[in-house]
Parts: sequence; C-alpha cells; structure tokens
Amino acid sequence: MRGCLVALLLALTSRAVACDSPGAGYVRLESAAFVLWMATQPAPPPIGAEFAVDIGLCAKGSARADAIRFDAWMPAHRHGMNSRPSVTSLGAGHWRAEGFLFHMPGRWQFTFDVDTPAGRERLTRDIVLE
Amino acid sequence: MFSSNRSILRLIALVAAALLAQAALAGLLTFSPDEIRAIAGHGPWPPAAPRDPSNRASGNAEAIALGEKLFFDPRLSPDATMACARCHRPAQAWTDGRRLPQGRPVSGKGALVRNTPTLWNAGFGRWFGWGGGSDTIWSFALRPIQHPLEMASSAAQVARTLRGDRELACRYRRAFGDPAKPDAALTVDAAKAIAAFVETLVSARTPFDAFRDALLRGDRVAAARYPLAAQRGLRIFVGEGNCSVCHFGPTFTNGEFADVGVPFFVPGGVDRGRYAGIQRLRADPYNLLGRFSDAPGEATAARTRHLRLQPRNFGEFKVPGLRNVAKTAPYMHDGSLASLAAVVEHYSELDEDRLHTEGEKILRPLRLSAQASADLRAFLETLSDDGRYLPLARVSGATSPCASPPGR
Repeated sequence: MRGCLVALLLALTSRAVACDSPGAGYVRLESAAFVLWMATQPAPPPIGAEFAVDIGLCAKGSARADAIRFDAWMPAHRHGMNSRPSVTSLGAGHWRAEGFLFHMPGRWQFTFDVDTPAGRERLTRDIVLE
Repeated sequence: MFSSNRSILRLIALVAAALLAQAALAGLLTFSPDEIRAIAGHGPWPPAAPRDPSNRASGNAEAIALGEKLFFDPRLSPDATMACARCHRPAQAWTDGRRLPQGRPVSGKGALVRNTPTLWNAGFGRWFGWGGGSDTIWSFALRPIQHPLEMASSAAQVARTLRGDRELACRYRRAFGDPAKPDAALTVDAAKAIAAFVETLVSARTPFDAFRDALLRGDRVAAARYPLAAQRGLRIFVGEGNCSVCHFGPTFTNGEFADVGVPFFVPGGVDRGRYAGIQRLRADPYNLLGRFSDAPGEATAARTRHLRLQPRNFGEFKVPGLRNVAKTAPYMHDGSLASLAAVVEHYSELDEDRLHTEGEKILRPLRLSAQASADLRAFLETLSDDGRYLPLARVSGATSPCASPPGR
C-alpha cells in the first residue's frame, strides 16, 4: 500500500492514562503500546461519499507516540483511497480525520501507524461494505 | 344448470390463472440473498433531483430555461456553427454516435481524442470529463465553450450573444439579475445556466427498475416478466463479473476512475487520464475552491480539497454510468469499442498485461461463453428507458415568454 496519509504530531504524555471509550459507537483497537478508539461519522461509512473518522489514542505504560498516520485500503484489490483526509486535533489525544471516501464496496482496512522512538506500530480495523 | 355452468367456468378460470402463474414463476431465477442485496443497491430510481450548491442557478426554473436555450444556440461560437447540442444530441442519448467528436479543424492544433459522453444523469456525478478535470458541471461547460477545437469562443462572444438577443437578455435578467457585469462573469453565469439545464436530464425508469422493485416487494409474477436472459446477465453483473464493484449504485457508476486495459496512446503522445485531470482541476480557477463557487466553504469544496494524486491515476478514466448504455455507442474514453458486444468481449478476453502493475486486482478475463455474453448484453439493454427528451417549455410551461426588451 502506498501513500500514507497525513502525519500528525501527537502531544501524548508518557504517563499511563485511563483509556475509556470516548462515547457510543467507538471500536477498540490495541497494539503492544497503544489503545486506539475509532468511530466513523456516519456509521457505518457510506460508499461513494465522504465521511470522517474520530479517534482517541492512549499510550500504555511509558510508551510515547511521536506521530500517527491515518489511511485505508482494500487489501484484496491492492489499492487505497482516492482522497487524502485532513486531520484536526480535538485535544487530549483525540483527532478527527475528514475526507475519507470508500469508492467501492468490499473489504476496506483502516490503518493507523503510530511512530514511536522504538519504531512504528500499526493498528488496523477491517470493515466490509456492501 | 346455469349455476353449475358458472361454477365450472369459475373453476376453469382459477385453474388457468394458477397455470399461468406457475408458467410465469418458471421464468424467474432464484436469486440468493447476497444477489438480491446487490440488485437492490442499483435503485431506487429515480432518485431525488440533483442539486449543486456551488451553482446558485441549480434548480432555478428561469436559469434552466435560459440554459436550455443556450445549450442549443450556435451563436455562443463566434462563427455561429457550433452549439453544445452539436455533440450532445437529444436524439442520440446526448452523444453524437461518433468515436470521436467532429471538432473544429485547426491546423497544428491536434485533434479531439476523447469520446463524447452522454449527459444522461450527469447531475449525479462528482467529477466531470473522462479525466475528471472539473468538479462541477458548470466549470466543465466552460471548457468546450473556449476550447479552440470545439466552440472556440470567448467571454466577449458569450456576453455579446447574451446581451444582444432580446429573449436571452430577458431570461438572463430573470435568472441572474442585472447583466451589467464583466464579460467573464456573464460567461460563468451562462455556464451555470447550462449546467442547471443539464442537471434536469435524468433518465426514466427501465425494465430493470421494474424487475428490481418487483423482486424487492416479493411480487414474483411481476418479476418473472423480466426476460430470463437479462436475469442471467444480471446475475453475472452482480456476481462473477464484478461489474457492480465499479458500476455501483442507482446510476451504475461509483463516479471515480479506473484503468480497464484500454490503451491510452493518442496521436503524438499519451492521454494521461485522471492523472492529468487532477493536475488540471487543481489549477482551475473555476474549481470548488475558487471564488466563482456560490458555496465557498468546507462542505462543498471538501472533495476537491482532499484529492490525492497518485501514480496509478495515470491512464485511469472515469467509470461511466450505464443507464441507457445501449443507446450511447461507441464506448470507452476513446470510443474504440463500437458495440456492447465489443465491450463484453473486452472484459471477457481482458489483456491483463495492459493493466497497471499497481492497478486494482478487480479485473480478470471473464472467459464468458457465447450464451453468457449474450445474457450480459441482454441485461445491459434493459437499462434503457423509453423516455424521450422533451424541451422544458413543452413539458412544464415553467416560465412565461420573455418579451421585455434589453435593459428592462
């Protein structure tokens, strides 16, 4: 997959923080060092129309996130989106990425690549649109 | 005795009806839940009328009437030989039936290299032109007006035509107000009026729509009236053919772009398709991000702001809608496929070597039998309506005649 989306500098602290769901409709993703909550607006996302993704990111233990990239692709078709979302910080480890567009039905995969001093961690979420 | 005869007749009628129903049901395939879901996605039809927030003339009856007149008026071109309708002909499903349009012969200027697309249902699109070089119909309409190989016109010519004709000037005033503005602004308004008219070109219901709706309401008798060959072709379309992946939704297009293995070489070079389209769109002062949009702001301009230029866009062309497709030959961005049979054969015998190495792995040669090919064509032909274009003045009488002289 090419063309990762906007990198965004995070202001997460290294302290462990409570990581509750930001609200209804959020899905929990987890990697070795992070917990990420995501929700599409609207849910489920439409086909052929723009939608947004809200996320909340929490670091486990002493983990630190330097940047996060949002993207999505169709693994079976080996292509990504035709759009590049823009990201807005909502404060306190929350962001909204607008401009997602899934232009065909099938299985899409959201990818969130978190850069840390130790390397990159990827969190993913698959969704099938019909 | 009379009562007995009536009973017998009633029994015969019931049996006949049952036999007819049975025969009818025998003409209906059993579609799986997934197939029914996919079929349902190609409707309902017609949808709500399209509206373009960036065009204040969108949905405005006076502007639509003006736009219709301008669409057919060759005086928009300096030599009064070329109107929009020269290539977008109502009787030919808003195309010209040619592989390539008959442009204006200009020495040293090359030639037009893209097939004339239909205008049916254009208002439901997001990008316009085979390469998507425009993000609105009105900004796209400015291109053929000014293209040296098409109408070869200018803002001055368009403005002169609008101001100099009593009826046009009257209709302009009703739609947009005082015409005392720069020629360029008048030309943009003319393009917006034309776009408002084009938005009204929504195709009518088809035999497919009748079948889809009958299937969804469980009316098996009505559904069984749909030809079996078309049913088999529809099954291919939503199933093994993968056609629905790109030819998606009620308009049978996802409105985006794809490389389907049609060569993009043109005399003197290549047609870069969507790649050049995105570049053109970003540089266009008339795009949704520009000052000529009547709805500046985040929501309307979002799709243009979020555009991504990628290497795979090279050689991609817009996925066309398929309603009335049987009426819009020849096919593909370059008009290289003369018939629906040729299109089906193209996908049946697809040359995968022609696809981008980074292209979508959706397409593969379908290797259709002669029967399957015929079935797929039969289905596509049921996407044709029997509606005819009727000039707005005859349809609705929406606007009163314009008799006011210029300036009043």
